Amino acid sequence: MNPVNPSNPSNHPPMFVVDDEEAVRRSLARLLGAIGVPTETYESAVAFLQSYAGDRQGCLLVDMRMPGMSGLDLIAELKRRNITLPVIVMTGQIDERSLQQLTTHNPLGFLEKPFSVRELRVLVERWRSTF
Amino acid sequence: MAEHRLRLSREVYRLRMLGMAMGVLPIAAVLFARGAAAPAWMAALVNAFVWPHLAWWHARSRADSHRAERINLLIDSALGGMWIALMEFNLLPSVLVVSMLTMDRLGWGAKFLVRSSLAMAGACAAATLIAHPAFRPATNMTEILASLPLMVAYPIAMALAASQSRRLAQEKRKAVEQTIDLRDQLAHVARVGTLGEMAAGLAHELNQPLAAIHIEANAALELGRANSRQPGWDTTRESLERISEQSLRAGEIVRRMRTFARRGPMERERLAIGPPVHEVLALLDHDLHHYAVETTIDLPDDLPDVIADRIAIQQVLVNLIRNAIEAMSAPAVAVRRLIIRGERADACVRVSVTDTGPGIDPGLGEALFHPFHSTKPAGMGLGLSICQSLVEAHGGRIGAGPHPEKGARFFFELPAAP
Repeated sequence: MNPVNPSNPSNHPPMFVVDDEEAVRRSLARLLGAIGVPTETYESAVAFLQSYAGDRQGCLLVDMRMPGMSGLDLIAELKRRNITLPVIVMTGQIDERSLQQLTTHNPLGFLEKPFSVRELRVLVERWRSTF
Repeated sequence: MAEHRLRLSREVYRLRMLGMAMGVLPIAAVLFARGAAAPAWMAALVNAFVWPHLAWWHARSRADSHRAERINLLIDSALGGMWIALMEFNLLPSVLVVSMLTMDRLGWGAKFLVRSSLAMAGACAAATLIAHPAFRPATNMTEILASLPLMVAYPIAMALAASQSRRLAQEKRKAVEQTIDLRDQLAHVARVGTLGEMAAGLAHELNQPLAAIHIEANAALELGRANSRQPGWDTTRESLERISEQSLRAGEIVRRMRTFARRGPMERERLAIGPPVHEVLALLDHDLHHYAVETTIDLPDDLPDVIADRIAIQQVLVNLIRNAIEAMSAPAVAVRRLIIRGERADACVRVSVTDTGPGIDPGLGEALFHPFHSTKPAGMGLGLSICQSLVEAHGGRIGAGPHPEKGARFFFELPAAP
C-alpha cells in the first residue's frame, strides 16, 4: 500500500458520497473538495456498486434512507463482497434497531442530518489518521 | 334477524308446551268432577298437546315470525277465556289461567296486554253464550291439587327464561361495547400515527435542504478563506457563519418536533393472525356489504403465531383492506373480491390482501409508501406510509405485488414467534 500525502489531492483516496438528494451530494462535494478531499458522488447504492472496483481505497459517506437499496443494505452488501471500506453513516432519523444493526458493522461514525460540518470534519480527520 | 326472531318463538314454544301440559291438569280435574262429555275432553287434549306444535309451525312458516307469534299469543288468550267458561268459572283454575296468561303478556307492552285481555274476555263470553255453562266457582281439594304444578312450576320456568334472555342481551351489549372500544383505539392509533408520520415525513423532507444549506455555507467559508485578504471578507464570512448556524438551528427544531411526535411504545404479545383479521373484517362489515364485496379468508391452521402489537396489526389491516374496498368501489368494477391470505415465508408470516380493483400504476414503485403521496383525490398519502412504519417497527416488511391480472396485492411480513 502506497503511503498517501493528504496535502496532495491527486494522491488522496476519495470520499464516495452516496445520497439520493442532489443538493446534499453537490454541497458535500464542494465542501470536501475545499478541505482537500477528492469526492465521487453517486445517486444510489446501486450506482455506487456498479462503478466501484473492489480494491480501491477511500471512505464511504452514505445516507441511510434511500429509495430502493438503503444505506444499511449497501453496507451489508459490501461486507458480503468482503470489501472493507471505512464507512460514515448519514441519517435523517435513526431508530434503535437500525442503530444496533449498524453498530455491528463498526462504522467510522454517525452523522444525524442536518449535522454540523464540525462533526464531519472530526470524522474526516479520524479517517485520515488511518493512513 | 330472522334467526334472532325465531329464537323468541322457540322460547315461547317451550314455555307453551310446559304451560299447556300443566294447565290441562286442573281442567281435567274440573271436567272429571263435572262428568264432562267426550268432545270437551278432546278439546282439552288437543289444546294441551297439539296446539303448541301448531303454533310453533305457524311461527316458523311465516316470514314475520314475530307477528305470527303475537297472533299465537292472542289465540292462547282466547283459548284460556273459553276454558274459564267451560270450567263453569271454577275459581282457582280460572284465576290461575287469567294470572298466568297476564304474566306472560307483561313483556309485550300495555297495548298487547289490553288486546289479549279483550280476546280472553270475548272468548269467555262467546263460550258462555254457546255452551250455557252453569256458574259453580267452588273449587274442591282434587282441583286444588291439580292446580299446584301450574302454580309452582310455571312461574319458575318463566323466571328462568327471563333471566336467560337478560343474560343474552348482556352478552350482546358487551360485544357491541368491545367493537366500539376497538374502533376508538384504532381511531386513536390512526390519529397519533398520522401526526407522527406527518412529522417524520416533514422532518425528512426539510432535513435534506437544511443539511445542504449548512454544508454549502461551510464550503463557501472554506473556499473564501483563500481570498481572506480581500476587503469585505470579514462581513461575508460573518454572513456565511450565520447561515451555517441558523440552518443548524432550524435542523434542531425539526429534530425536536420529530421526537415529540414519535409514537409511544408498542405492546408486544404472542398472537395468532386470525383473530385480528376477523375483528377488522367485522369492523368493516358495513363497507363490505355496501359494495357487495365477496370476501375470502385463507388462513391455514398451522400458521405460526407472531410477536406483535395487536392494535398496530389491526391498524395495518384496516388501512390495507379499506384501500382495497375503495379501489373496488367504482361502479365500473364488475367483480369485487377481497382475498386475505396468510402463509409462511421463511421465518416470517406473510399476510396478503388482494383486490379486484383497477390495480396499481406499475411506474409508482417505491413511491407508493412515501408519505404525502396519494392517488386518491382526497387522500393525504399517509395510509401506506403509516403501515410501513408500523410493520417496520415490528422488524417486518411491507410490499406490493405480485399483482393479479386485474387488481392489486399488498402484503406484510412479521417475524414468526419462536
